[in-house]
Amino acid sequence: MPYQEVATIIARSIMVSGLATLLALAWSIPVIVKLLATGGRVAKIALDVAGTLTGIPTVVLGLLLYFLLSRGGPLGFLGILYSPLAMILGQALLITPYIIYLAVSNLMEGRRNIWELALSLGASKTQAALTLLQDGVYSLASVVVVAFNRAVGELGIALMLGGNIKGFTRVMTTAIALEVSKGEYELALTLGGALLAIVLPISIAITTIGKKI
Amino acid sequence: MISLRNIVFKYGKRVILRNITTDIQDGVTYVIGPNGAGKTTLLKIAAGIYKPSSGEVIVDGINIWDVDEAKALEVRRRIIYVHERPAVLRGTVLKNIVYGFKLRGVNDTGEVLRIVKPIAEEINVVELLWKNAGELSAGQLQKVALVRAIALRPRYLLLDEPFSHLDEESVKRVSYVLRRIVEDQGVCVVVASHIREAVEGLSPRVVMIREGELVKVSPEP
Repeated sequence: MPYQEVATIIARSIMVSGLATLLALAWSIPVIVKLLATGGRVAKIALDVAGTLTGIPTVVLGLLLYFLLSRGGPLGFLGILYSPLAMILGQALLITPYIIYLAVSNLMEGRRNIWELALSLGASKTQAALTLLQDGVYSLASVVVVAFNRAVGELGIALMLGGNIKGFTRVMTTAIALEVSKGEYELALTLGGALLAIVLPISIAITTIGKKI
Repeated sequence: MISLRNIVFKYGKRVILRNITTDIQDGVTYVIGPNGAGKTTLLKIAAGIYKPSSGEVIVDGINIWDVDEAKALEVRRRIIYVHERPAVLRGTVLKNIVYGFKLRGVNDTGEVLRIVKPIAEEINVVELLWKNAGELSAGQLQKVALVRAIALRPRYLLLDEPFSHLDEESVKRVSYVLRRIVEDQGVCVVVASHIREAVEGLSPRVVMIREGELVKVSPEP
């Protein structure tokens, strides 16, 4: 596999998983604020549901979305199966429970003092929830990194919704799977190393910053 | 007046407060009791931060858990609770103080500073206003939190062990400011403390709780 193709695959992986993370974050934040502001039993049940959904196998989610997006499926008219857009949507759905579960757990339990401070200074519950988010931005950043790492490292959705089409939907995980199936272990290991080289520095940077805050 | 009626508070299966009925009236009230008696929980319930498992919290005639959120918020803003180890937001002390004003629609830092500076001078924390709040000592935090609370001119000021990290000089200054706001502004001050000796003589009204139960109110209502 030429160097240029490897670089393109890495760039595509970052783009697909990065956009999926941004999309998941965009629709998760209102949910996070709502859950923080609601609190009590409702929030706990919602959090338990989100926690359970973090365990969903990627192939199962991929399969469900495949049936939804395939030509005969209810969303087949969109015509996005085997495209980066389908991969972005699938990965965004995959990591949404992670973002909601980790963010709400961290902010609700780890920063209870800030919540009480906000309320005692006269914040409404929504204002207090927004204050928690704002003050816990580094905590949220570490959640986003975990979510990105989960997205960039998953295979099931990328394979089922992207189809591993060369030059279009091939990303690192599908390329590694392909190279292994061909017996090209050296190239697979190189791609695996590249994947780690992307994921690890981001995690270390966020952890280091988080400790200093 | 804040009336606490038949307050029960449970945390899981543990009962923290058992059927407490008392009033927070004008002037200074001390809530005393040993560590773990439930003083902090009682203050947080009185401030509307915790919802009691049962019972009523009536502030100026309004049951704060029985009205819509907007009304409850309006009433809650009359009460400020200051923790023994006050939490601070990321940023400077001034940013922390401005926060409470922003919640009330005052966004002009200059205006906030004009209100805050005389109080900060009285408590001797002016030089801390531009410091990173995360770098303050426990005593400095207590003083800054007090400034943050008083500046918002609450009707009720609930202080949890407010002198626990203060030196003698600071205790005198804070006590002076508390007396002043009680006398000049009519603020109801509630002080929770585990040291009975330290509070006697300062207030004619003392509420004593032990193991979550009200054991004594003096003078008797």
